[in-house]
Amino acid sequence: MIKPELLAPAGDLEKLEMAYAYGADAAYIGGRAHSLRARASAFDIDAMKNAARLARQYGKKLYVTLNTVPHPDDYAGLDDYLQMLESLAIDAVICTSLGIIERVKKHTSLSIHLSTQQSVTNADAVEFWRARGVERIILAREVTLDELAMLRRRTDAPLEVFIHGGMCVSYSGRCALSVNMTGRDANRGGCAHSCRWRYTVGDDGALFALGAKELNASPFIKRLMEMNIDSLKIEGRMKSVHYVASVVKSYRMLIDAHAQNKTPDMQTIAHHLDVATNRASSSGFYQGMPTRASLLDGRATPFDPHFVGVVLAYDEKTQAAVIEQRNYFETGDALEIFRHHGESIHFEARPMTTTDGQSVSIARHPKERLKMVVPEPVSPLDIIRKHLRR
Amino acid sequence: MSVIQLAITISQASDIDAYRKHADIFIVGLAPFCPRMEKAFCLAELETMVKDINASGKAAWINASAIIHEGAIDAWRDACQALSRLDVDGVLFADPAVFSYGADTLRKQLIYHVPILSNSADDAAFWQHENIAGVTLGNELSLAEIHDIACAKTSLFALIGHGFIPMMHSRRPLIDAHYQTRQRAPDDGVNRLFVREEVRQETYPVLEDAHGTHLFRAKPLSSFHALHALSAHIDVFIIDTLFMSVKNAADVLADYRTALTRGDARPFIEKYDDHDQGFYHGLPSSKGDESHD
Repeated sequence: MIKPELLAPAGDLEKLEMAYAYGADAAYIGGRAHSLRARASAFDIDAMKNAARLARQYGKKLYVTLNTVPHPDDYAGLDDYLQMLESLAIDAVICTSLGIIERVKKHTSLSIHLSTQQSVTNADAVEFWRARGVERIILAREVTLDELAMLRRRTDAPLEVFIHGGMCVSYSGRCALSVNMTGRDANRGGCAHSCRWRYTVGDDGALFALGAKELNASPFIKRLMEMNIDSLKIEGRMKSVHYVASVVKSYRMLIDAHAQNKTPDMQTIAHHLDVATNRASSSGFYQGMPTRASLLDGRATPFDPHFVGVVLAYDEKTQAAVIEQRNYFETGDALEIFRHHGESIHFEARPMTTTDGQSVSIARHPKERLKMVVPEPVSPLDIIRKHLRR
Repeated sequence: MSVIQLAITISQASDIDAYRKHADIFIVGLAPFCPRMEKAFCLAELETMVKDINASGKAAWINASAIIHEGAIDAWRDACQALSRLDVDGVLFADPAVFSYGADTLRKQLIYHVPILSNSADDAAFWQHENIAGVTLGNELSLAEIHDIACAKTSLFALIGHGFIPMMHSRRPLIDAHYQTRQRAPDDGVNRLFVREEVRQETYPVLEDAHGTHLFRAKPLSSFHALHALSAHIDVFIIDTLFMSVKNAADVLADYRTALTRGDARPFIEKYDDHDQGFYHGLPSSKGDESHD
């Protein structure tokens, strides 16, 4: 059994640092071009340079997505962009388009990971891509555990699979709902998530579930490790820092426990995953063909009510933490400090002061910095969440 | 406008006669490796149909464009080996696993048939460098983009130019799951269903087969208004007959043949003006930007 890489999403620099701090071995980011989340990307070139610097500082890996399916005009500026990426000394690029892959090979020496958008589902396809210079294959999310075991027996190529997060109801990349219904091309970063809208089928007006629940593969990590899968990937570049921190730490705990042949604390892990993933989840295809229970009913409403703040600093003398507010909370709320190192601290929110010394009992302003005495020492990047007494 | 070849999909062996006069290429599905066709055929049936097609001097293409899951790989290997013994002119494929079992004998017949991933000259060039026969281009391309892509082409380009264009392919049996939960069967069978979205009042045909669930555009695509421009760049124009009667499909085929022979598609534009006009002139205005988020 090898200890797989834990690969986390990072939609901005804060999430990237969270991913590394909470235990990811590697993270993937997308720039403002050629990436499926380009519309909302916070990674301009300067931010990408900072991301590469952060990766080196933590001694972790950084991958950059180039996973669009380009139309002719989308190649403008690509070659320069690739050379810029190479200058950052990132560890790999994640590509879907065969045209982009050829450009990467021609203009850089960057490692190439083949995106799940190519829907690789068998060992022959894995070997086909490997023979054409692809270093790692990210398999389709439609591969079952049994299929994966068979596939792994026929190839020793580096493989990556998704273990957590959003799932397309379609084979990834094989969906033109968004471009047909809104003019926003999902394969060029414009997905309008049309599959999560409300549909009916037939004449009786019955709701037809088209959207898929999120993937939660936490029960299968041991089996994936026994198959020597090289990288376990979490989806969610658009999700919150809380999601990144909580999901990464959960899988870190799982992988570390299995690697040491210990029994993981599944109750704690399930709790961390539950509070961070505010959409219903399923085991996807891992246990075989998903049933109706794996689908969403109606439109999803993402909201992260548990996440109320991030620790920016801690003063040992006053035992006060400087907290950046992210959601409403008030004195007396049951809070949990979810730490990147160590167990959670549970306590009741105490009176707070603003940075200019005013006493407040309610934290209602986003990004407001507040001081509050906490019961134990905390560290920057620790997460504060609400209503989580166990 | 006459160099373009007309290809048509076949649902029954008897369809061949209905289309024989005007079709250049007959596309027949190989069971169980052909998604999104009303019927696919076993190798013995294919052999008979291919002989019939070849006897009239026409070309036979086999549609084997399924995503091949690991559990089906042995059957896929056998199918590739059997296909290489058939006298076929083209094999539509989607999964590179074909190169493990059919590369030596089938390479010159292979046409990469994943339109949604084939939207640039560079992507097409990748497959051209593999020395295969051709590529089916995407249906979300404009005429200007098709022109750009075709400028660099060195192999055959196909395009699904008429019929219901798929919008989504899920491995999940969504219809079956839906009706199982409701503990009843659809009134008109699982393959005569439409999905309706709550804001748009369009209905989208939906099909479930052994490969999962497929959702299609609300209306069939027609390309008469773009035929002149397409004929300069596209080698094979595919009429997909899914959800069409044989009579309707034969009429459509005859109309394209007439338009190509006369070099004038204008008389047919009005006849098909209730069809989807595609992305040939950019994003269709009816699509708007009415989104839910």
